[in-house]
Amino acid sequence: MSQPLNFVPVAEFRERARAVVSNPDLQKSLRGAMDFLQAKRTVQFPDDAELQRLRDLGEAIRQYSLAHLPELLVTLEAKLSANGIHVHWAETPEEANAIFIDIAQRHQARTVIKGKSMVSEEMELNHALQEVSIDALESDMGEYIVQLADEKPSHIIMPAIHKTKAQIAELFAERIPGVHYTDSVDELIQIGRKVLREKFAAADIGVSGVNFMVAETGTLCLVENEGNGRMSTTVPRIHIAITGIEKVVEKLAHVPPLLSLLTRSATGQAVTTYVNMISSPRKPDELDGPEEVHLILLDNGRTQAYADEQLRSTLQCIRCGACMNHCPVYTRIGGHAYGTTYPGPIGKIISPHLLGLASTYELATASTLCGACAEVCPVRIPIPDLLIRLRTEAYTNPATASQAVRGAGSAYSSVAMALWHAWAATYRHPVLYRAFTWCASRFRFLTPGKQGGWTVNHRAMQPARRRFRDQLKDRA
Amino acid sequence: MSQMTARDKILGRLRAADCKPLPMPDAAAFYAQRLHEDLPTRVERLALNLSNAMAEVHRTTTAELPAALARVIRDKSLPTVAVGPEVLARQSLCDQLQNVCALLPVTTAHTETPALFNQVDAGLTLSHAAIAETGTVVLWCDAQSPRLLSLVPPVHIVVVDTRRTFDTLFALMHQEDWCNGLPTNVVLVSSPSKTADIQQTLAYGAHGPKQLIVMLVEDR
Amino acid sequence: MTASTEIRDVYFFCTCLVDLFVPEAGLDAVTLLEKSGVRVHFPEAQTCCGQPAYTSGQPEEARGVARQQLGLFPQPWPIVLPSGSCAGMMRHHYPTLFAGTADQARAEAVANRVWELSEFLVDVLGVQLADQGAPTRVALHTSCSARRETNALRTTRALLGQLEQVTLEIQDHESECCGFGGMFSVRHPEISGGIVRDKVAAIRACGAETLITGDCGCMLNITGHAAKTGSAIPGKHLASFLLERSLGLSSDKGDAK
Repeated sequence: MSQPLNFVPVAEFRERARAVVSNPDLQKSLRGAMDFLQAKRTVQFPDDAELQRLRDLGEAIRQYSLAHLPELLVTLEAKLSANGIHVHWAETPEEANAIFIDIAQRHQARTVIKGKSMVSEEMELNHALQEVSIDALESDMGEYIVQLADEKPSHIIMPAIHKTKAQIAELFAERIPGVHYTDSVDELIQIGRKVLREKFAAADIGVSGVNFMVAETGTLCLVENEGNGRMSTTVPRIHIAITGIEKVVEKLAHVPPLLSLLTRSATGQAVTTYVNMISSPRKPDELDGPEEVHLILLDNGRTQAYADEQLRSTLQCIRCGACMNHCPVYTRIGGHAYGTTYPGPIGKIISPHLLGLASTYELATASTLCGACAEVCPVRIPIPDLLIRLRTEAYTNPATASQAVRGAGSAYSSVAMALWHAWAATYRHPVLYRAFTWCASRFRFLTPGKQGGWTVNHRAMQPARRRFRDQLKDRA
Repeated sequence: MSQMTARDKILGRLRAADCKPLPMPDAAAFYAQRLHEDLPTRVERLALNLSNAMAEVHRTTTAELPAALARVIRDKSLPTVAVGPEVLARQSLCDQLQNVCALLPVTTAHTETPALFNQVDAGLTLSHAAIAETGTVVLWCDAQSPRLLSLVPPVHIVVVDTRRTFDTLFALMHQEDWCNGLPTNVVLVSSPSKTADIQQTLAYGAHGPKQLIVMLVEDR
Repeated sequence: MTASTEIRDVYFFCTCLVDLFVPEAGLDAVTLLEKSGVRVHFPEAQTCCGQPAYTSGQPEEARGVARQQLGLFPQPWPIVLPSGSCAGMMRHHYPTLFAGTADQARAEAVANRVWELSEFLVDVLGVQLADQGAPTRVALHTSCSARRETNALRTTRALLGQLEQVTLEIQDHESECCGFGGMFSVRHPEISGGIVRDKVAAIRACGAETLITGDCGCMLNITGHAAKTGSAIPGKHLASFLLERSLGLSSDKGDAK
């Protein structure tokens, strides 16, 4: 069924990007979707001073939480355990899948219904469950659509943002038995609701992600609009929450500001329809809710980012997606071109830790460093600086590379390095620089008409007849 | 054993980074600068925000609540309404409602689930509190208040005691010392269930109730 | 034109793009400064701010080139650049680039004296321009560095606002990047091309006769793409445009782009 999409050969990234950029329909729907999300966010922050104060607080909370991460995780684990929630730790996606499958098999589970969880995408959980004959069905409408189409989410908040209504209408008619074609959004949603209702009632295990984990109370906070997250965490007998180790905060008081930043930045909502705070499995006298709740904490390279003071800020992310909504590159190439679980600017800075730099450095180079992402990031992750850092790690000589990022030096080329040396040597010495620019100007007629990637899109650049410095002298 | 190992390795790597401690962020200071409104203003804001989010808001008093609820249930043609122990405890309310609909009591674990999924037209619940800033109803799910009643039926009717309307989520958590302990499940509800996953077009009733009816009870 | 300040001295850092590719922008910037009562000093030994290497993940090479520039400004005069991008590099990234090195203090001292041209004209000199030209409509593209690392968006608009016969047309998605990104435009032409394609379309559609920008990189990107793909968009550096409008002088013959 679905192919793992988490390794991107460099050539393939370019090819996918090119395909999207040259598809006018896709360009139009991406632009429309991004404009929509940008406008909705803007409306939510009418008062810039308040926004900046809230970002200050959000950034401080995330930095504090990271600075104290090991103790917070220990506190969280103790509190969750005391509340009756089982805590599991996994270093790798494989370990996390094994933990999940072990729980499932202990309960002879056959069907799993999933609320939205990007970490489960990191794990390729659906694929792993399939291999042991457990059915996993996505219940978030966007995720359901994407799963039905054998695809992957193209956006972390709006998984099916790359699909038009007409495409979804055709997909439903084709893939859901007994469904006739309709392009009414209301009807399509009701079809999805009906199909998934039956699955909720029958599922053995419900899966969810987590937006925030609160150490002091042992609480898992989930944010959603559809109600499928509540269904997945309430109806099946077992609830398994999956998340990254960085999602913890110490105090319950830290949740309201982060929640406000998250929902306003993500979808331009003051709050989502549901904020679901889970602190224990069903208690003996309670009438519903899961009998068992598990939390799987996944590392998957996060400790690598954590070890480096600068790269650590990557983990401040609260997964709102505002960076991709405002990214000129994402707007042109969409989420699938990246080929990673997390697309867009956040994907460029987190994927090297998840997958290694060797397969992801090209993503870090695919940015104009315009800074639109950092400008809207609710927790002020300095994304452009991190991109420059990752480029530096990629191009460094592997013989002398630091151990900060797995795959450092994988983009190193002695030819490119020699060119940079030559460039720097020229520009470091005014005499050489003047000689070089004098020649470039004097022999401008020798300027090649083909200038690599530049002349794909532009008329060739030609040096001026006389340099600025010469003309300045003339004038005097 | 292998899980212990993963835990130790992860914590070991985190500790090895040897982060400098940072001062505790002061969320209270941020919220102290925000607008604090008196109760009537908070209630107006709550009602406005809920209405803007496509919730149906009815304003009533304690004395008139049974009649107001009966009217809503009749007008909406909701023949079967599921209720939990918290509502069943209000005998006179139930008596009046039974004149206009069949009440399905949800009192035993899970046995009612198939009925809830297939036969019920609405779920009626009480609420713990409300939040003006975001137009939010707070459900405190415990033994008295099952979680599915507000989720599975196509209509969710919720009764809000407006005296318990707070400025913000922060104010509510802070004034009630939520940090000292939470029930199994707290749910903040701010609109009917919805999605915009198909071409950014908003549709209601995605997985939860298509209609959210909020009975604001205010005794002046 | 008038400026409310006494004569003062500034250093002019022309940038490598202006030196070799758009000299008229530099000349017009110098003239503007001089007409505003400023003595302009051009350190001959200047080359490049080092940004191409810095953003390409070559900090060693960037430092080597940037270090050469640190010694060019011995007097405590302001350093003015006709580029938001290079000004942003020197103001914001030099302190990071030299952090923990022997040159840290020198880098910070230089960074603190850096001005983008329009910022200097408005915020320091308080320049008042009198428009001498015929009515015209222009589009302004503010580079991302100028927008986010300097105050140039505000000051450029203020300067254009002083020109009575000039109407500023706001193109669709005005604040979005033009897709240049230095080496990005060469390395990822498929993506860069998609971004600049939309930028060119928006500028063509907004009804402007001329594109004004304070950054030659963006100008070469936008006008170079327009020239390749159909009707040209006349592009002018802000300095050339201001000079032409206020004094009827400009070195820009429109032939270099």
